[in-house]
Amino acid sequence: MPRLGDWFDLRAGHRRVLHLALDEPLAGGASFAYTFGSILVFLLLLQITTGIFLAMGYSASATDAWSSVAYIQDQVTLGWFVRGLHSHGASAMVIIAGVHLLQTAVYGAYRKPRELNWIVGVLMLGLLLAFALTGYLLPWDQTGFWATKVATGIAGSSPVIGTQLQEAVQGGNEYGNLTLTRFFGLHVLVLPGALIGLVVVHVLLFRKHGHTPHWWLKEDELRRRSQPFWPDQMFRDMVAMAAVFAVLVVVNLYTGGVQLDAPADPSSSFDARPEWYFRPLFQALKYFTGSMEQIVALGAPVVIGGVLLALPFVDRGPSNSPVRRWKELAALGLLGVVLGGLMVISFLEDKSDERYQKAVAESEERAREARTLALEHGVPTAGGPTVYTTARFFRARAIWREDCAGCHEGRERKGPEIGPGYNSRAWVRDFLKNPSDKRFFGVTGINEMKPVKQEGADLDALVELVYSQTGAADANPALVERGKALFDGDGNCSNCHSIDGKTEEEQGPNLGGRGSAEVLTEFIARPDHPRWFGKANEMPTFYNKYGGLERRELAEWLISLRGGHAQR
Amino acid sequence: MAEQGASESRRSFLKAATMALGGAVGVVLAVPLVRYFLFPVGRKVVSSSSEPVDVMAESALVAGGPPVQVALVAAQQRDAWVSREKVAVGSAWLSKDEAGRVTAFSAVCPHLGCAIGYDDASSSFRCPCHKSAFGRNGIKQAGPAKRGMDPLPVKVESGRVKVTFLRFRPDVSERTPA
Repeated sequence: MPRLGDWFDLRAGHRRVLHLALDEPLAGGASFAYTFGSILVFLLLLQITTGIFLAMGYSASATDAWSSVAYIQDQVTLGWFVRGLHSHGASAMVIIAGVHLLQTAVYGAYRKPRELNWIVGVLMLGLLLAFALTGYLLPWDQTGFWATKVATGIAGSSPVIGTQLQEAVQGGNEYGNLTLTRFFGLHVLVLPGALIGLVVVHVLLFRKHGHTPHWWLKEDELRRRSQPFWPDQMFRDMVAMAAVFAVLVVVNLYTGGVQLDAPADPSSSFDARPEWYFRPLFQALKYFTGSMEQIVALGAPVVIGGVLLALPFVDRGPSNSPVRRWKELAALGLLGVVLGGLMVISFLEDKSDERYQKAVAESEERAREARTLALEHGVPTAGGPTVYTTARFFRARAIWREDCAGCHEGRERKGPEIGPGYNSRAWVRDFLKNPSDKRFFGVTGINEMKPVKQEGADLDALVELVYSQTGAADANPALVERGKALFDGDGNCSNCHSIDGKTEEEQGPNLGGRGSAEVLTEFIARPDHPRWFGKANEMPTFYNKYGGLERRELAEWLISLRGGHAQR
Repeated sequence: MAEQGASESRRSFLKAATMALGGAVGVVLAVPLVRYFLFPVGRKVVSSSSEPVDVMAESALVAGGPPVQVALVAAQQRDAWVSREKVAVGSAWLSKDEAGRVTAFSAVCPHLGCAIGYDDASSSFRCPCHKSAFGRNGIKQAGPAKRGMDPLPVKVESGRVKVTFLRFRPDVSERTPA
C-alpha cells in the first residue's frame, strides 16, 4: 500500500494537497461553533445528489411536470423519500445558513479584513432563496403555481422594467411551458453553477484569513490551545453533519416526505402559501395596500440585503467582543426578531382561520384524489387537472351537475330527491309510505298516488318487489314473490301500474325494471314515453342531448348511489 | 512523552471515528438512491394494450402483390406517468400469397431493431442499418441478423385484417418474447 501511495503521489502530488487542505492549525482549538460552514457544504452536496436523482425522473413541461412528480412521489421506489430529503434539505440549508450568519456575526468574523467573505456569504444566502423560489414551482402543483405567481407578480410591479422583467423570468405573457423550462434551467444549471463558484471563493477566502477564534482568549492562550483541522475540527464537523443528517432523515420519515398538491389549475381559486422562509414577507404585505405594498415587497429584500452588506463597513471598532459591538448585534437581532415575529404571526393567523383550514383540508382531499387517479390510470396527455377525467363516473357527474341537480337536488327541487341512498330499500319504503311527500312527487303536479296501506311484513314484501326491479343482486326472491301477490291483490297497485315493462298508457308508470341500468338509460331519454309518465310527464327529455353511452353512464352512477346512506 | 502518546492515540481514534461516521451517512444515503435508480429494472414502465389492431381491409391486399407496410396503433398506452390513446407502437409488413393467405412480419429487424424496408427491384426485405436481407417469406438471406423476420399473429375478421404486435429479443437466434 505505501508503495502504491508513493507511486500515485509522485504523479498526482495528492499528499501536498491533502496536507494543505487538512493540516491547518486552528488557533484556540477546534470547536462546534465552527461546524456550520461544513454542515452547509454537506447539505449542498446532499441537495446536488438528491436533485440529480430527482431530475432523472422529472419532466419540465406544463402538461407533464405534475404527473412526473406524482410518479416519483407515488410509484418510484423510495421516490417520496428522495423528494422529501430534497425539500426538507432546502429548509435545513436556510436554517443552518441563518445560524452560520449568526455565529459569524457574534464572533465578529465579518470584520476587517474579512469583509469580502461576508459579502460573498450574503450573496449565497440570496442564491439559496432563489433556489427555493424556483424549486417551489417545479412540481406545478396548486401551491407552487399560485405562490410563485405572487412572486413573479411582485417582480412585475418593479418600476420602469416591471413588465419586461416579469416576462423574461416567466418566459412570456402567461405561465406555461417556457416558465417551467426557464425555472428548471435556473434551478438545476444556473443557480448551482453560481453557488458552487461562490462556495469556492468563500472557502478560499476563509483559508486565506483563517477562522476567527474565540474573542475571550488572549494571543498566547490561542497559540497554546492550537489544534490541527484534521482530525480535531473535522471530527466535530462530521459529528455535526451526521447529527443534521439524522434529524433530516427522522423528520422526513415522520412527515412521510413532502406534500404534493393537486395539479395546477389556473381556473381554480387557491389560497396559496409560500415556503416558511418567505412567510415574513408574505405577512408584511398584508399590512400595506396600494403603492406602499409594492414598495414594501420590492424594498424589504433590498433593505435587508443592504443592512447585511453594510455591516462590516459600519462595525469598525477594535474589539471582536460582542459586548463592545452590541449596537450592530442588536440591529441584527432586531431584524431577526421582526422576521421571526412576522413568520409566527402568519402561521398563527392561518391556524385560527377556520375558512383557510377548511380550504386546506379540501385541497388535501383534492390532491389525494388526483394522486390516486394518476396512480391507477395515469394522466391523460393533456396533463394536470385532466387526471380527474379518468375518475369513474366523471362524465356522469358532469351531466348530473349540468342538467339534473337543478331539479333533483337541494331545496328548490322540481322533481323527486335523488342523492345517496336513491332507490335503496329505505328510500323505496319512505316513498311508498308517502309518495306525495315534498321529498318525492309533492313538488310536482303528479300527486294522484295514494300511500301504501300495508304494514310490517306486507310492506316489506312490496318494498322488496320495487327494490328488486333495480336489478339489485341481494333482493330476496321469496319476499319478491309475496310482493307480486300483494301488487295484484290487496295492495291495489295493479289498478294503476303494470310491472311487465311493456304495457303502456296506464294511470301510473310501468314499474318493470324500474331503477335498472337499462330502464334508467331509456327513461332519461324519454320520460314522457307512454310506458312511463306519458302526458303527465314534467321532466325534460334528453334523447337529443345525450347519446346512449352517456345516459348509460349516468344510469350506472345513479345505481351506484343506492349503497349510500339515505338523506333526511 | 506519555502525553504525546495519548494525544496520538486520541487523534487516531478521532480519524477513525470521523471516517466511520462519514461512511455511515454515505450508506444511509446511498441505499435509497440506488433503489430509486434501479426502480425501472424488470418493470413494464411502458405498456400498451395488446389486442389485435385493425390495420386495413383485406380486399385492399393484392394476392401475390408486393408487401404493404402498415402502422400498428395501440388503443391505449401507459408510458410511465402518461396514459395515451391511439399510439403507434410499431409497424408490420403485410402480404397475401396466391392462395389468399395473409401473413404479417414485424418491421423490427431481428438483428438490432432498425426498421426493415422492402426493395421492389430484388423483391426482398432489406434492413438499412447493417444490410441484413430477408426473402418475401421472411427467411434470412444475408447479413448479420441471427434469425429470419419475426412473424406476427394475423387474422381476418369480417373483411378486416387484424395484427397483434409482439416484441422479441434482438440479436439471438431463438425467437423469444421481449
